[in-house]
Amino acid sequence: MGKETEEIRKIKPGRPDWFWFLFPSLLLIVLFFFLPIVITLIISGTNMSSTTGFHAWKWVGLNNFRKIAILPETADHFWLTVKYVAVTLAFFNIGMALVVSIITTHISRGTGFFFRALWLLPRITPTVTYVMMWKFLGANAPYGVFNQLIIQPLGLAPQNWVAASSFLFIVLVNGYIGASFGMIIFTSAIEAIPKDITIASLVDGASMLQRIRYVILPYIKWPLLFVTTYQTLSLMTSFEQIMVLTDGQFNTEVWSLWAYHKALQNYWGNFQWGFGNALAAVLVVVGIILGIIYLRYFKFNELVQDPKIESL
Amino acid sequence: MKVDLINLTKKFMGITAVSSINLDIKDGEFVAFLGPSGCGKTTTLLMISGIYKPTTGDILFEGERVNHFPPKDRDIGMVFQSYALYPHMTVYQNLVFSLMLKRRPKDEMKAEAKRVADIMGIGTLLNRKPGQLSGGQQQRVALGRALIKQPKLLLFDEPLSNLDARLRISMRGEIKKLQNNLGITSIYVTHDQIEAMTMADRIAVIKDGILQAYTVPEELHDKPKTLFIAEFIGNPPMNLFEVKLLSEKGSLYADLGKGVKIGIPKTRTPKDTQKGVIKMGIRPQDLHAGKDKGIKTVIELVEPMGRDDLIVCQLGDKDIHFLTDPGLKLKTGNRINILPDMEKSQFFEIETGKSLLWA
Repeated sequence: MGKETEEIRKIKPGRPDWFWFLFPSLLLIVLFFFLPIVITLIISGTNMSSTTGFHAWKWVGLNNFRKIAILPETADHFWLTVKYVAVTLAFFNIGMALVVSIITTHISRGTGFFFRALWLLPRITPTVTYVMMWKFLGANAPYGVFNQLIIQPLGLAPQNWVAASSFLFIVLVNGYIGASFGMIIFTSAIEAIPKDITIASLVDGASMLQRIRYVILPYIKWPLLFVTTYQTLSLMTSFEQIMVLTDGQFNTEVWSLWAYHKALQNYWGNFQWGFGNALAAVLVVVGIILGIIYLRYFKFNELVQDPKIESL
Repeated sequence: MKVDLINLTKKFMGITAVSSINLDIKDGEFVAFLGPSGCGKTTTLLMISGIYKPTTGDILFEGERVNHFPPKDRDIGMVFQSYALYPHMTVYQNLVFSLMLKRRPKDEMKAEAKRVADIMGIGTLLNRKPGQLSGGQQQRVALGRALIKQPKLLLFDEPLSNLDARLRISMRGEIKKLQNNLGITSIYVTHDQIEAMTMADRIAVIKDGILQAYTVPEELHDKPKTLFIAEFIGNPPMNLFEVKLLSEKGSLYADLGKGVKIGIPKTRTPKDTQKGVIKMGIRPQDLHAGKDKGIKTVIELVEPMGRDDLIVCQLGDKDIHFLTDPGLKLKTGNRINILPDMEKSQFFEIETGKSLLWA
């Protein structure tokens, strides 16, 4: 047996090569994505709370989920979340993002860049500062900007607009941040449409709306899929803006905020970790199901099919 | 459709891309815009199509000023180098796209699609997507898409540049024949002088945004007005070198150095014989290997090209290329005599590049 064969044998580890290749990212995914889900599911099967502490808790099986199912407020939180996610997604994270990216790619480059930079401001402003600005915009007299500048000069009765139109406010607050994400992705996708295709469609006689319908939207189908999926899931699970704006008052307690309040911050000081985790687990399951539906609906398989090499 | 460009100029942020071009295109004519990349030929085409608005100057269709007409109101069809087919649509949908936008009835769309599919020979491909077609097939579909609108003006933007050499030659003939049969006025942008020479009725040579010449192919080849045209037109390219003009006993000679002098015939007398040093040009096919007459030299290199052999040798102190019959079986190192056909020679002013014969 030659010495080289011996060497080769030494190099060959016990585990297959791909394992070590993937190990760093696998570790990250398992540690920070997969394990938290497992822990969530485990705790959701217990009655763990600040009363029981970490020692005196008991397994309660699916009791927490049964409780969710029979609680009268469940339906309210659920439909509010559906409405909030759907409206914010449709009008801002997708709708406004599309409008802004189409407009800013069809005006001069510099102007387009300027307006896109403006839209990024809410995202780079610290959340608390940003939400406080909204609060003061809608606040009751004598502080509210809206009341001072528009309502009172018109002789109308000032009020706390955050409370009066709470749903509108949580949509606006999240939408103005959320739109910039889609805007960036759609803009680069629209700018990647070959110039000849645009010229061809103009020569073929397409109006602006027809170009959007028949050329731009089909071309940015995959970015649309990505932004829709990603933004649905982040809208479902993020609650910090709403927490700072209303803390769930005025009928704005979306599901994720509800879970947070139950598990980590409630009025009586009893943190119901078990129940809160059960609420979070519902979000995880709904998120996975929605993700699968999106991928199916947008025919994700086509995106990853083998490339076709042109034969002359 | 008759097309006129009048002092057509386009500037991008102060940089002139097209500079005051004047030309007329007759109804049914096939005109090529020829020039190196970045010369302004595509910019001119995009102004004619209505994508760009001219900075100054006018575009007239049938005598009517169309400067501010949007592309869709110009009765044009356009074919691109990249084919520019809509990748998410089938061949049929690509063909009838312009009709669909006008909400024409289904029957009409089907009939029209069949008509152009028959012309282009793509009837069997109607249900495929562009990604499933070869380059040649895609370009046929793109041509069909341009033709379905029954345009009065066809614009081609280097349509054959992405095809392989053999297909390019056959498509060249096909487009020419098609244009002939349909009689649609056509403008064909290309950087390939052979394409322009073989297809066009008239060629507009453009360089740095300036129209260098606008004339029939033969004249561009035989009577180049500038050095640029002489260099650009013809394959293999024209031999060009500096010579000193000598006048002896009333006859004019070109001094090639090393004591080699060639007589210049009366018909080719340069306009300004006092110039001294000028540029002389002679095409590779206008030099011949003579038996005993001619200028003695030694072959430095033979490049067999099939129909001809391209010979490289020295004439005076200049390297020159010329074509010979492969039947002569010339080899590197052979001593030969060269007979230049000076009746076909060209002379240019060095500083301006202007022809001393035709400009």
